[in-house]
Amino acid sequence: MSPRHGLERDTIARPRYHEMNVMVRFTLDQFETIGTANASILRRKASIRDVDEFLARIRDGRVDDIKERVKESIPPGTIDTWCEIMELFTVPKVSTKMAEMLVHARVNSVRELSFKDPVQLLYKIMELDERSFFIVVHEPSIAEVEEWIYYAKLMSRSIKQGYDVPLISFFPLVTVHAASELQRFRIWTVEDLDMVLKTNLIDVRRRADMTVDAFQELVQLVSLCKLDGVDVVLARALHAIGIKTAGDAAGMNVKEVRASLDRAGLDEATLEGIKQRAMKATSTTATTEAS
Amino acid sequence: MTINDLLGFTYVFVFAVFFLLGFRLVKRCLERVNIIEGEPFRAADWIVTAGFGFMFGIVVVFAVNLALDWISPVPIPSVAGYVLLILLGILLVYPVWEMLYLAGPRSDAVTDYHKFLEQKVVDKIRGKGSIAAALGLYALTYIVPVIILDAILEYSFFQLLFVWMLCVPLFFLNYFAASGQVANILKVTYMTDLSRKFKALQSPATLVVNVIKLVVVIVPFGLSVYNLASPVVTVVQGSGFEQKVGTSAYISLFTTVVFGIQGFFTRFWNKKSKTRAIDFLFSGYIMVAIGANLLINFVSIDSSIVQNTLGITVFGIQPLAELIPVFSNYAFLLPAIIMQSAVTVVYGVAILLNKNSRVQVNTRLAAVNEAYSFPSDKDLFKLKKQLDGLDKKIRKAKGSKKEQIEARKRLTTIKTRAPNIVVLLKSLFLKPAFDRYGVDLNEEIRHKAAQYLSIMATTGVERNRDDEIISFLIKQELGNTSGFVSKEAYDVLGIMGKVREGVSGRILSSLAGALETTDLLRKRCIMDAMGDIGSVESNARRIIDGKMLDKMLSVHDASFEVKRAAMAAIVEMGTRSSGTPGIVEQLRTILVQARESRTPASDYIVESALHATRLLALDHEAAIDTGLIVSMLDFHPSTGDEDTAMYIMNETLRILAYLVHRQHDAIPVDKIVALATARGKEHVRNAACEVLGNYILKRPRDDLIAFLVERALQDPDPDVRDTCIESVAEYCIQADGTDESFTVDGKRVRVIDHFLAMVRSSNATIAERASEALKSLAPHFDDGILDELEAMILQDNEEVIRDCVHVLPDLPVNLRKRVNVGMLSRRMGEVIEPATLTAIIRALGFLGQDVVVDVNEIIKHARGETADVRLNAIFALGKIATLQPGPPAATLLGLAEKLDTSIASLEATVIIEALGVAGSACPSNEIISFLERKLIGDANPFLKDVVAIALREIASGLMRRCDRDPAGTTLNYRLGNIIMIFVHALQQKGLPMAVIDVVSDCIQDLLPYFILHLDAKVAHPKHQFEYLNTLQSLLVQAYNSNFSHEILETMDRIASLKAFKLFVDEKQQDSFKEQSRLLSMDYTPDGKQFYDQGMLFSMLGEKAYALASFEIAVELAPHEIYSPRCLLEIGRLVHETTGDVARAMAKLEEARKIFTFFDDIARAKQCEDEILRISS
Repeated sequence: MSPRHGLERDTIARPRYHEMNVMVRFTLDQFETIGTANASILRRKASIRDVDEFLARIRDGRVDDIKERVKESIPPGTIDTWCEIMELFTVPKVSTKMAEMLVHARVNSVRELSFKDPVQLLYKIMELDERSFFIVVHEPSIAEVEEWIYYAKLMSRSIKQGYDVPLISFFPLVTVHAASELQRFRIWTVEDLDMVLKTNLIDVRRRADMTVDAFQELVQLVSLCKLDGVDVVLARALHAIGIKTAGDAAGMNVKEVRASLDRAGLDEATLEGIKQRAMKATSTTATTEAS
Repeated sequence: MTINDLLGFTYVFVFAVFFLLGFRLVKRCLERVNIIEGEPFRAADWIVTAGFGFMFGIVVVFAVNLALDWISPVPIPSVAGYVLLILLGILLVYPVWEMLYLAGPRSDAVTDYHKFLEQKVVDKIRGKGSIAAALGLYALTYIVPVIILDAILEYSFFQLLFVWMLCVPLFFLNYFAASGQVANILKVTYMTDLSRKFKALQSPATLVVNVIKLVVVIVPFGLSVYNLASPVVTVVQGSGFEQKVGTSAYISLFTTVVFGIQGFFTRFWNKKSKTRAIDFLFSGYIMVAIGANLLINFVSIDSSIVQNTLGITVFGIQPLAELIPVFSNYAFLLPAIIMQSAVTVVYGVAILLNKNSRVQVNTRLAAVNEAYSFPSDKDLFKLKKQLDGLDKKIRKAKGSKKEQIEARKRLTTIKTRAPNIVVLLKSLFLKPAFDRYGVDLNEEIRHKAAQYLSIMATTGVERNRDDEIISFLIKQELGNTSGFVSKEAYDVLGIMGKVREGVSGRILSSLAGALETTDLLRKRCIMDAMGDIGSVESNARRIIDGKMLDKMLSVHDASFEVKRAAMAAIVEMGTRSSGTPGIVEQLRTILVQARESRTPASDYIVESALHATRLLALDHEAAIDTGLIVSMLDFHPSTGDEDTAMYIMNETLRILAYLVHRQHDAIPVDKIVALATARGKEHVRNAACEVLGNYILKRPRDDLIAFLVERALQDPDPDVRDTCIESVAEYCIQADGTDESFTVDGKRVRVIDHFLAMVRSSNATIAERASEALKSLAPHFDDGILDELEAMILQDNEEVIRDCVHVLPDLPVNLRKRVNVGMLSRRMGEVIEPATLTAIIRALGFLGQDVVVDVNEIIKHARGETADVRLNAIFALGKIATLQPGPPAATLLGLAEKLDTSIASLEATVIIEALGVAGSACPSNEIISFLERKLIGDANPFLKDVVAIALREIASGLMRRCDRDPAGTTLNYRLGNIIMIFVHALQQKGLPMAVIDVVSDCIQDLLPYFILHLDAKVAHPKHQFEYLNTLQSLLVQAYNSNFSHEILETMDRIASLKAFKLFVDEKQQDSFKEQSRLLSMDYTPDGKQFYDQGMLFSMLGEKAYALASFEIAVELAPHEIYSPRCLLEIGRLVHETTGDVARAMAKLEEARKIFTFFDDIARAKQCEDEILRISS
């Protein structure tokens, strides 16, 4: 969710809520610090109905617009706190309650969370439970906090390794709603998704409540991300210029692609390396399928 | 005696017997509730009990009369007609009463149909409107259909009304019958697998028995199908109804009455605890349905019964005579019988076809539970009896006692029924069955099967079948390269490899072989299993020497997750088998190789190897190569990625922060100081300051203290400042008042004095940061600090006021009691910023637990406009009410009553929490009643977890209260009442699983009290767990009502507690004691539960139980957040109870080490003080 990925804003598609079947969405009143009354204000005055819409505004840099619209009812500082809560809520396995607790424990962003020491963080949460009116209904274990931090690291680092990309990194193509639906099936990362797609046990698209086009785009991006050296940002950029799968990457014209992508540090040698790996990956897949 | 007299006597006798039987059934249900609540059997209970007994008795008399009438060749005196009149009265009155019951505030429907009406209609209309709605629904269900039928058919309204009233309960009866039949089919077909895959695991005799079982359960359903299809065929073929009706009636007697009774008990009576009048009246209603069914069937078989039964005369009139034409018409009777079979067939087919229905899943789970007979306290008693018998023999033996002594030695395990391996293995590989919310319904079944197989492996049950089981698991999982991966199968392999020395080699080599070829997900599972197996030293050696993990950590392998799993396996091996040499060396090799490789993947391995090293540092501190770790401070990732560099630096510094406690000389202080000031790298600065903070604890250096004090005031990042302040505070704690001064501008100054001076600085930023520092520092200084703080609170800088006020509740008790609360109350009216007002209110709340404060102003703010101030005022009132219950508690209750609890809001949460806090010290009927209404009634489901927690707090308070003054309470509620409130809550439909989890946890938290304070009062050992057994039986019903894993866990918790008590109470160190201990852990393998239990026992002064609880908690979870606290308590308790100084000191030292690892220096110091106290 870091704004460092400037390229994302240009290449991503806007969420298309009206095309989706609305299932169980995370509504804003599920956050105790927002509550029913404030959720209603946000819905009426800023047209924000759920977490995904709130995150989309943050993503688009339109937080000031929210502040302006609700300034008579909600102080700007409160909106900032909610933005932090929303961002932390995108970390896999962090509940609404815990996202709020983390912000009150002075963890203000996913990146901030990624640097925390789990035991110290747990101490802070327990202190909050004892010293404030916030109640920790379920006290997390060290292993659970470790896991949040692990995912926060995955979401924060700009260099990709393996298939480590959490699916929420594809926001808004993958919404918080979709990501939370998928995590019920133990799908958090590109690798998890790839595994489930291979076993063909569930209809992932329907479960994630995604349109056919959006899901196809996700599968293609996943296919690109599996290539060593291709991260979410680059995958999106390649996708936008028509290189949609590992097969396309295997046949790409490196010079043309280089010219189409205005990405600092992306030289022809890097692209050539990706092409080679794509060729190898596609030939391996073909061999496996043939055998 | 005439035949009439004999028959009369028979009817009276039958009535008396079945009246008593029904009476006893209900009495047992109500008695169970009374046991839990500690209440006597009340008049209302007697009435309900007698009412059900009466209904039960007359229905059986009715059935006997009809049967005798049918058997007898001559007419016999009939009472059936009179009984039918009474039954008719019940049929007319009960439905009205039931519908009106739905309009009440509680969720009370007994059938799914009524539940639907309650949720969709009645609950949505409040007040008197709900009664009108209920009556409207009654008319729609019972009157409108009769009016419609009256318009279509030629029968009279009365005839149709009677028939309709009779048919409605028949629907329910047949629904139960269908459930009974389908449950039998599902269970037997699941438990008897005849496929080739499982053939080898079963003997030929078992296979034959299975075939017979299958036939037995399928025949009744086949008869129902026949009963439905045959009349239709007969009619189509043009034959008459008469003969057909007779055959169908015979079949119906078998398929609906027999299975209706079975289904009634399995699907209704044993589902949800029967505690309310409606439960028993509905049961009576179903009994009436059985009577109706018998009437239709017997009348169909023998038409003379019609005249005998319906032709009765009462006061000169024949009230049922109008029904004779109806019951003499076969064209009417046959559809009535067919309808019953149709309900059975349609419902049965629907359930059988829906593989993922709750009924199917629950049947599978029940089959798994039945497949392994988990030892219980009864089995433990048997073992005890056997051991005692052998002891007697040994004592009495005149000659050699060798044989008996040997026999006693061999008696080490509990004997239980042979497990059904087929069901357990089959369940382990059940593919996910997702419901519409994405929940894998089969996951619970796989977990249970894995748990049982693991326990079998641990306890040595079916040891001779190890090879069979392992072969099956390996073939099913490792031989399969696609499709579903059963993680649970790998868990079982891991446990078997760990506890069964003889087979670990085979399992390890199979897993290692599969690593070469299998997919990523399986590789991850294999790593996990290897972690378990490698937790035994010899296995760890084998894994390391066989280089089984090396390949997975190879930089060329693309999968990030597999590397992570491999690292996790190393950590698990290292933390569980702390004596294993080589694990840290292996990690070192991995780290060095990755450092040299310089690829993006190797950067990750460096990072995760450092992370693993940090986790192992606690147990393998001496084996860690400090030089290598220090050298990592200069590591630069190959990619140049800033975040990766920072993560690596952070991990390195954190390892050093721990190592510095023992190896301070190896720490490059200058380099760390440079890192502590690195610009733009606040996280590195933070970790570096932590290293320095720990360094000065071991080697106090004036310049470093000054450096940290300076950073505490100057660093731009608040987290870094916090760390520096914490470090300085820890230094002061360590110094313990001896010398916490340092040099500033050439002068020696006490740390606290320096910060106090800085608070008065003209630089506002510095002053505020200094006051922030006082929050951590001030509580450790008691001489004169209160005066300083109060003086600063009287100043104008509100940031400073806030910080100083924040410190007051943290001061030692003697100082807290001296705080000028009047001045604080005055300042509430003088400060300007709401944040300052909030801070003062909050502080007054905490102080109000020790001293009397003026509550008027706080009450005013609790009703104020500013949200934050209001919420803190409510929070403060809860605390103050613990000392001054009057106006604060009344205010809280007033606010609570005005709440719209249909909406989940922070305000509602805070009020409910405050009520819980207030009630924990001063419980009142009003508070408990309010919370009960909210938990059982129609409050927002997402509020109910907080309500449950508030009730638990009150229950904890009641425990303390009962302990002090068991008789002197004016409360209507006892602990048992609160437990029953929780049990009722568990049985509500539509509760989110998260809320059920919390309610179950609340019950679990309270259980330890009962085992000592209620069950302990029962003298006879046979009944010593009466209370817990009763509660367990209620939970079984709750589980049948709301299938939740948490309820099962609570039931396991009860079994665990019983075994735990037997373990602690047993004085002799023998297999009984050991098996009891193992069983208590097997049932609840959760260290946190034992920790909580230990704290509760400590609070109750039960030292032996507390000590045993803490010991088990540490055994189950040696490195959790609560583990060092357990060790600290163990140290204290060992010293107090046994006087074993050496053991106590060892435990305290262990605790100190873990606290230090957690960087909890204050508690580490506490351990040191305890060690000093004990040693002196």
